[in-house]
Amino acid sequence: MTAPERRIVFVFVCLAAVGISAYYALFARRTPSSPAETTATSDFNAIESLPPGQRGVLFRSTVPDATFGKVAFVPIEKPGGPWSITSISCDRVYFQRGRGVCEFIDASLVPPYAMFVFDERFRAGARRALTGVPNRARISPDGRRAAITVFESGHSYAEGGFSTRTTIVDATTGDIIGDLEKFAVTRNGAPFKAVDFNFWGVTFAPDGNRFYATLRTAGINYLIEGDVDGQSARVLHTGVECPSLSPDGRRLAFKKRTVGSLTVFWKVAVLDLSTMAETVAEWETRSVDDQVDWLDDEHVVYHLPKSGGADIWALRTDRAEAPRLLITGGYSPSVVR
Amino acid sequence: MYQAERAGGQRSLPDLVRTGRLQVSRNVWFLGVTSLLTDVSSEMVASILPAYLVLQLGLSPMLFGTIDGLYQGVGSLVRWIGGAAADRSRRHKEFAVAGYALSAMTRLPMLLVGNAWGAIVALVALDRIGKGFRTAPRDALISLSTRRADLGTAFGVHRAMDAFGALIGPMVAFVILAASPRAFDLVFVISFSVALIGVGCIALFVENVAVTAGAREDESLGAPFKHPAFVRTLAVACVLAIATVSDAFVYLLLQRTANFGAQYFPLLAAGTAVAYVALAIPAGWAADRVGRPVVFVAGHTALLGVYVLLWLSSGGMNVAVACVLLLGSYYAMTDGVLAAAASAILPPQARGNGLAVLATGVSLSRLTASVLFGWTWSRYGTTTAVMVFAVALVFGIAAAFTSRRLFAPDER
Repeated sequence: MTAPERRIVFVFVCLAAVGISAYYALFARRTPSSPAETTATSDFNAIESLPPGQRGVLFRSTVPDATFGKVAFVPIEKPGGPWSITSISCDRVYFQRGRGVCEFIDASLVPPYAMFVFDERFRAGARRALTGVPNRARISPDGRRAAITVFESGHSYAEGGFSTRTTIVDATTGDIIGDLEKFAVTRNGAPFKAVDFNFWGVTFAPDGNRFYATLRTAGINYLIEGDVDGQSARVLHTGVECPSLSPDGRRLAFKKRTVGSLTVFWKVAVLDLSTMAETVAEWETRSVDDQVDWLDDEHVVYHLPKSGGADIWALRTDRAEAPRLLITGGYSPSVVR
Repeated sequence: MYQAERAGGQRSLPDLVRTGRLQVSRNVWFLGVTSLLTDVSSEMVASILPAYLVLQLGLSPMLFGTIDGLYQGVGSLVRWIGGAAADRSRRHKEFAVAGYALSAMTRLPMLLVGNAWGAIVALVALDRIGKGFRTAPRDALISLSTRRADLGTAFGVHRAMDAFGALIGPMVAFVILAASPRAFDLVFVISFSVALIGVGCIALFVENVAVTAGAREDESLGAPFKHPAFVRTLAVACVLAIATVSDAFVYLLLQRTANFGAQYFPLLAAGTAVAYVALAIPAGWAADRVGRPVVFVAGHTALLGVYVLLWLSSGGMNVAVACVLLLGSYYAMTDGVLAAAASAILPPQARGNGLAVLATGVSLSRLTASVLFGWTWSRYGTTTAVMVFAVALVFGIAAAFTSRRLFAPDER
């Protein structure tokens, strides 16, 4: 090729590159507002507050219609029935005893991640910036406190991947009460501290003070039991990620990491806190990468990703039974008791 | 002996172009453009990947960090293979093009694989392999396209453009997402387009440089080690790298001492990159005049300045700004300058191989330094860790400066 020919070819390469992006942006993208998608509309009605005393599941809609991104509610008796759509949009949502926490991403903000607490009428408190991508959200059973886990990632100059940050927040005001990184941790009675501490996945005891969470350091995941008021925690067990305390307070459901070839696989498992015996729910054969929530004393719920969204499934924890599809198109389930 | 051969090779350089006062060849400019575009492309994806994985796909990126280390190792191995094979075939350009093309090709499938975790991991791995593969042939091309007296400037120009791309990539992604919320797919497509133009640029405008047949021993895998001056440079670079605290730790320490919100964390990296971009060319130009090893070792005194500030000061915004400027100067005076210094020593037949060995040696030493620093920090506390590394760095700098042979005129 001569020099002028090369220049012409380069112009064509540039035009093709710009053309691909322009074509994709203008014609090929499937946006929630495109007419072809709206036919998939789920059955829904709008609500302004949660029906008092009504048990059910609060979740985020991933259905590409008018409900997309909104927080929705279904009653416990009819999880497959029509959705009640609320006025708020969240990426992660959790609700308990009249208080809720909502974590969301908004690209027009700097930083683009934020959270707020809300009440049973979905009135939002002050919006507060988050330091990373929202990942886990929990409210204590007494509605006093919220726990938030985000993923923080450095710039590519700062090699070494991701770290997590978990903060405890006042569920009424949204004020930060504590950062787990600053808690005094002990292991076998001795102080336990390292630079690479990462905390995630808090679950609260009914008093809203005691909690369980995962601590990772030097490649090992520890289960810790903590005390918010005392700003302390102790190592209880290993191999437990994203614990979730059962309504009777006697068991922890969690995701158990299984060593695969190159990919990760998480199984749902239950730890009996009195005997420390583990039961792995082998009857769920898919990888469950979520902090599960207890539907009742036997079942847990969690979301599983699917192409273009996610579904919420229910699984029996005490005996082999096929998982049940609970809410099609739901994400981030929160059982309202 | 290879001095004479290099003189022969120089005459067949592609038309050297004088652009302003910088004597940088066409090849270097076009390689710079390709690196700039490729970094825009890869950094715009890297900056949204956590949000994409967690929010769009519902995955935890925790393991991503763990596997990242493995890829660094694979990247090093591929880098050496790429460098040595390119040297032997004399087709540095084709090897570099293959590496850039492989990385570009990983962008679009990201859209299609959905939430198949294994596929995402594989795509990220392929991107890293492409990056590892192209680095040494590209640096060899920069050095082979440049007169020996201008090596520092040439690498300075390339590194400035490269870092500029890495700086604006996240901003491009931010603008796209601000204009079209949650359009992660659009970020991947635009990233692919940008990378495609980069591949077009190197494939169409960069030319291989004729390397005359040299001694047979210069074509073996171990060839670079047969040159004592190269081994000395490698040793000095590795020793200094072992006393180097990684940026991640410096930023973490700054955040604690300066006591500002974690949301400003990315600004530290961006500030460092701005200083690096601004100083890379002047540092390279100066290195060509006062000696590349001198500037390389002196660059580490800027790093020493960072340690001293972290160690002695009580913190504050001014200290953070000073540290970021010093860190940027350190990068400007060391990264491209080291490649230039090694290029001046290595015979053309072993250029890619030697540069790959050097880059691998430095990155392994840095990895060791990170482990050591993390361990010292958790065991003895922040102050002790910084102190130990500062003392080690002082010894490293002193040893390098007193090693007369490193600065011998024939090795400049």
